[in-house]
Amino acid sequence: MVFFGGRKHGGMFTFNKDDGYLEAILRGFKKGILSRADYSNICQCDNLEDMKMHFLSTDYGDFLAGEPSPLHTTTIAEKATQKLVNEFNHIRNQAVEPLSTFMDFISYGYMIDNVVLLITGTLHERDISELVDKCHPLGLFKSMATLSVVHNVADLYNNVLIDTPLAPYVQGCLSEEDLDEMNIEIIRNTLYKAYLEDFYKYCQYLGGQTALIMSDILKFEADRRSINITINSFGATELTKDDREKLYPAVGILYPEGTSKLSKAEDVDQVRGVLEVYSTYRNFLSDQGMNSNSERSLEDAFFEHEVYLNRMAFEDQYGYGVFYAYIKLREQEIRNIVWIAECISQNMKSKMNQYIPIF
Amino acid sequence: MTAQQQKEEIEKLTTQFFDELEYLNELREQYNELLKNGYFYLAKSRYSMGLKSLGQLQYPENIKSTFTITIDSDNSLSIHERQDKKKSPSSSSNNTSSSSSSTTTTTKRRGGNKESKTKADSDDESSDDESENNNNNQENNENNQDGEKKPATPKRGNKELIKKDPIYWFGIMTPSTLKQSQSYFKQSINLSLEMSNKIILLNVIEKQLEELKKNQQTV
Repeated sequence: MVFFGGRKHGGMFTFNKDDGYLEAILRGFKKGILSRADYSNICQCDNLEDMKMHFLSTDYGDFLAGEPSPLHTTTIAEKATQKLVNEFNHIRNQAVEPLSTFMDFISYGYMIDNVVLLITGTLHERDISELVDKCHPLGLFKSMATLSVVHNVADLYNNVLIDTPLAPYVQGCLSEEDLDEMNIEIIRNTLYKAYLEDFYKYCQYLGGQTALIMSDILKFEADRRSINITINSFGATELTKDDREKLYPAVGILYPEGTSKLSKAEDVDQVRGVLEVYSTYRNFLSDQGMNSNSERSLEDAFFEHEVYLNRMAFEDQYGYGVFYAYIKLREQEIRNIVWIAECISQNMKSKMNQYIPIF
Repeated sequence: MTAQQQKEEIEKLTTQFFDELEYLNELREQYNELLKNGYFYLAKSRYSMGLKSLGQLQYPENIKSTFTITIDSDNSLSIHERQDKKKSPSSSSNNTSSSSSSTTTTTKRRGGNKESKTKADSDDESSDDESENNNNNQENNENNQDGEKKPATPKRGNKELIKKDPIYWFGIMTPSTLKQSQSYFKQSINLSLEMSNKIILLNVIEKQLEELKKNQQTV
């Protein structure tokens, strides 16, 4: 149990004093997550304009008002994300320690995505202002304003990243002389690995219910990354097995034994063999799991389990797990909406029900 | 040629014309199916990778084609993987007179968002032959960037594979759905070529028919 100005985190008697109001607001937000009835309504739409009409009766309201038709799925995704970001900022702005730091940790993940987007863009000689526009709003950081003067990766690090919370993660994984697609991928994964480990450590430091709930979620996140890195790197011969092992996060149920076995895996069957002993993941790579023609792919299994873990967080009290879980559930909801919208606009209605319902 | 022979010839050509037309329609259906699947798996990849990591921001500003289309002496089109090395002068000695027609056929064949604008990059040695810059696989990205040219350009010489395959713009470890999507779009390139060759053939048959009919009238 850690003390913050004489207050214990996660204490039954003190939790509500600081965080009760925000938690109440958050649980109110959670009520707005689309239900199965909402999904079945949306799935019956014939075009995106219809979908817009249906959203009027949900928590999204008129979030697409004023958008010129024809609507594009990207617009829907952007607007829905903006709504989530507004909610996040509303809570973040009123949060006090340690919730504020916890919420900052959530935004670091998006910062990593943005940094990778910026580095990729710089490598491909993209206009920097165009890149900043496309960055995830949750992962924006102040020094982005100085990005217009950045012309190479050294500048990017010295002028921008050094002042961000990511600086400790970045050290040691940026090297200017050989920056190519390969290294970007390594940078992305190394950053994420460092971030996950740090976030996990912070949750353990907070203790209480936060540690309990978050450790499950973060361990799963780490395992998912390890498995994905392994499977997706099978085609990429440039990535040696040693390099691959360095990218696995040092947390998770698989760590250390499973990850060490994963690092030696050479095909999907071997991965399946490694996962066989972990009851949580045993069914993820079932025979049809890798066949993307089947209804349920590995990715879907991961998303489903993530939704399950995050939903469970809401069964709990006196912890910060709900704040993280809410963001992740909403993200899944946005993915669902975009998926349904894509299916509608591509006229692939038969594939539509591959989304993952949340409640 | 007697009138009877001419009639027979016309009939023969007409049958051939419709046979080819039918085949062309079949090809078009296959082509539509390929594109449909390609876009679908692309949507699936974006679902798992996130919208921002699979979009126009990932590909380079100045992209070069990985494939070139050349017009052979018999007016048919063929596709080649672009060589990174400079082309020898002899390879660019194909007849240039047909370049304009190549542009039109390609444009016609691709229709919509797949047509390429044909301008070779200034630093591209092969720009002097009439080859058509052809986009490979997943152009299409979200906004259907018309005429956007893909192919990989990285400057590093040591990693040939990364250099060549545009899928690496989206990361080394891309999900299998993206690879599937790419393969669908790749197949569609060959198919589109086959289709344009059919169209050329149809045009030839049509011209022959017209001539024969003219002759018949004069006779």
